[in-house]
Amino acid sequence: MMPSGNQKKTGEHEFITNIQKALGRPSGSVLPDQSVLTQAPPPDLEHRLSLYCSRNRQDQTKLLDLFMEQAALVNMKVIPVETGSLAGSAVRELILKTEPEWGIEKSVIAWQDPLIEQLGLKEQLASDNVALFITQSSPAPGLEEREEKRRHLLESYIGITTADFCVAESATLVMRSGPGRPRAVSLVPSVHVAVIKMDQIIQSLSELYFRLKFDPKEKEQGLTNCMTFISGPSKTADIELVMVHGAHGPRQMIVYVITG
Amino acid sequence: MAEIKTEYYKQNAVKAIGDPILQNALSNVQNRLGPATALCYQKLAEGPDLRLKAHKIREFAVNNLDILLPVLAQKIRDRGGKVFFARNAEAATAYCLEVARENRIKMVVKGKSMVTEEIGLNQVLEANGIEVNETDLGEYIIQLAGESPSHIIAPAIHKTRKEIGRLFTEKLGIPYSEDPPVLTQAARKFLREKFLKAGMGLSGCNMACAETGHITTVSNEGNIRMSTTLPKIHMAFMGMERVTARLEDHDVLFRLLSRGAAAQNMAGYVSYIGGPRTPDQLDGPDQFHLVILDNGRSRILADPEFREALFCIRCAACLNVCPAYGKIGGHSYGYPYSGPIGAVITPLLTGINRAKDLFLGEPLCGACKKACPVDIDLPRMLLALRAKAAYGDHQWAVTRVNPREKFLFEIFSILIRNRKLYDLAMKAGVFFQKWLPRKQGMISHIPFVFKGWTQSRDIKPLARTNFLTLWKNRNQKS
Ligand code: SF4
Repeated sequence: MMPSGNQKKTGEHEFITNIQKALGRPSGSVLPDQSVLTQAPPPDLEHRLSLYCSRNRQDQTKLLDLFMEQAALVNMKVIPVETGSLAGSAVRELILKTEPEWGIEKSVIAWQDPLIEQLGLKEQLASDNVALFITQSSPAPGLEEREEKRRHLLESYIGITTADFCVAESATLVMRSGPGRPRAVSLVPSVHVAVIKMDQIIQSLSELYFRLKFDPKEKEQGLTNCMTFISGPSKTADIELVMVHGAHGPRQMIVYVITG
Repeated sequence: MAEIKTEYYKQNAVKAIGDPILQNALSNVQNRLGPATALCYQKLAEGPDLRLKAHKIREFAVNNLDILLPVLAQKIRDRGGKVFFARNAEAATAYCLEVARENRIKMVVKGKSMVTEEIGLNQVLEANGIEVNETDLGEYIIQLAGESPSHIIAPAIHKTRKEIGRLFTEKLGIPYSEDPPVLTQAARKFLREKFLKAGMGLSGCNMACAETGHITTVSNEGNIRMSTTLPKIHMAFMGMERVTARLEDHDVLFRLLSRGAAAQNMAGYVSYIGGPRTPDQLDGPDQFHLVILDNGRSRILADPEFREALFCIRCAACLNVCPAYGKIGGHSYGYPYSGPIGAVITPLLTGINRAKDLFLGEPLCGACKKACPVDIDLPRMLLALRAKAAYGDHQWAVTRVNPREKFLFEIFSILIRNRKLYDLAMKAGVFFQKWLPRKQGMISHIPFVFKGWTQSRDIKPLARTNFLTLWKNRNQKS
């Protein structure tokens, strides 16, 4: 096994002492000064939080417009739909008219999530020849279960997820990993479909960080061990600066916003 | 350690300037990214001065590294990750190799990371029989070609689509094409297999956050997400300065980084990674390792004159506006870091004497400072390095680059303080210059110690009558 907590073997002590010397500080075990790390909650904390959480319909529509405008710049398609089941039929249509990139069979993988359940995909796809995998899992999935899910993932050409937030200003979907929400669903399939509710759209990155840090609800979950921002489909400009979509991640990205 | 080739700066620069394809590629990159980034700064809600705020954020973090790094490490350990502090390149690569061996890793996939270039990780792994696959398209291309990156974020800009087409035909056996989408698709297909088979994924770290205990990775292609999600082990490497204190610091920094690097509002993918897969999760690596690297950085930290160089977030904006980089390209700098930032940190990391040409070659025009998202005063540090080279420096063990230069300046100093001597010397110059070879009225060669003056340019001859005499004559007439 590799050394872990042992300070000597991780080289930490010597390393930090060296830095202290360079900074001209007395070396030794200085207790981390927490004030360096966190900021006292701003005085307008309550006010800001309540502003963020009480947007009316008009504000939300404005944010949706901004999001759509920014998303267009990064080649991400945003489609507002009134209800979950309308989103479901839209996804079905997408599946029927999109061909798989690698194989010939059509498989789709979706997060286990109440919002995605609203799409009623199982019923929608009942008469089509399409396999639908849901990333449902036991509380502590073992190797076998994980490998099975990985096979499903690799077979799927469309991956369906939700998001925790959607930042309008930069067209960014924010996703935290957790049970039933494997990160590769938004990454490995050729097409990434995200379904969000309109009130998940927020203004800016600064609002996002503020809420993650100060909103008691978000604080509890924290950033988790993997939080990902996605702003558009995978792209590269490494050959003569020519923009090409679908370098390694999804070639196409579609967001359905449930407005009802 | 990466191979240091800084002493070939001049030869490589001459070669680069004579290469029309490279010249074309360089001006293409600079024309497109330089102005686009400047425009992006203008369009920021807070205006371009947001860069000053970013500077303060980075300054604060660098001044508190001794507090931030242990906190970062502890938070990652609390989530089951391992953190290793590497004093130098050898320690870092040895750690990586040890983990690879213990886990019987035969093949790794890698996201683009400058710090792994710096420590020469690929060479070490390959020498030990481990297959390394670069997965960023640009890095993949240059790996296939057996070359090194020539730009921090667009490593293969020196290659044309035709060259890449031929390379792919030869190495991947695909039919020749020079269509970027076709070539990209070929790499996508080929590397997908590698992502799925690799036992370990390697990445850099753009900016860690001490408060929450996360590193971040940034890409547009999704290759870094692949490398850090699919293999069983993820190992990330970061220079010790790449940390910020607070989460909200990332708001300013990521917006600026995306603009500085690629004139984007936001990079395509940003991931916060803080540990291995938790037992209830279906995917993610079973092991997460973070290697924090010093490799000469604490020495830079200790010198107030250069500490600012550690504020860098490696966005490459300074490369995209630098007139020297725009002509000589990244390879001339002889080390993974090129452009103005390379001209400052490469000498500090590898030896000021050895890498002196890098900072002597930068024109001190100031464009880099204006383009830098964290407003680093690169021209000031370039000048400070020149001073060290001219006068020698004990702390950095610099010997005078050119002792003759000092002698000549002493003579000049005597001349300029003595009117008669000065006039005499000028007259002598006017007299002797008629034997010097000329081209279109310009002197094209001066011999002896002065030959450097005419090595790459012609010089105007001294006027027969100098300004003061002209002035006097004119006043007498009127
Ligand atoms: S010095 Fe500034 S502009 Fe240059 S790479 Fe670093 S952060 Fe970017």
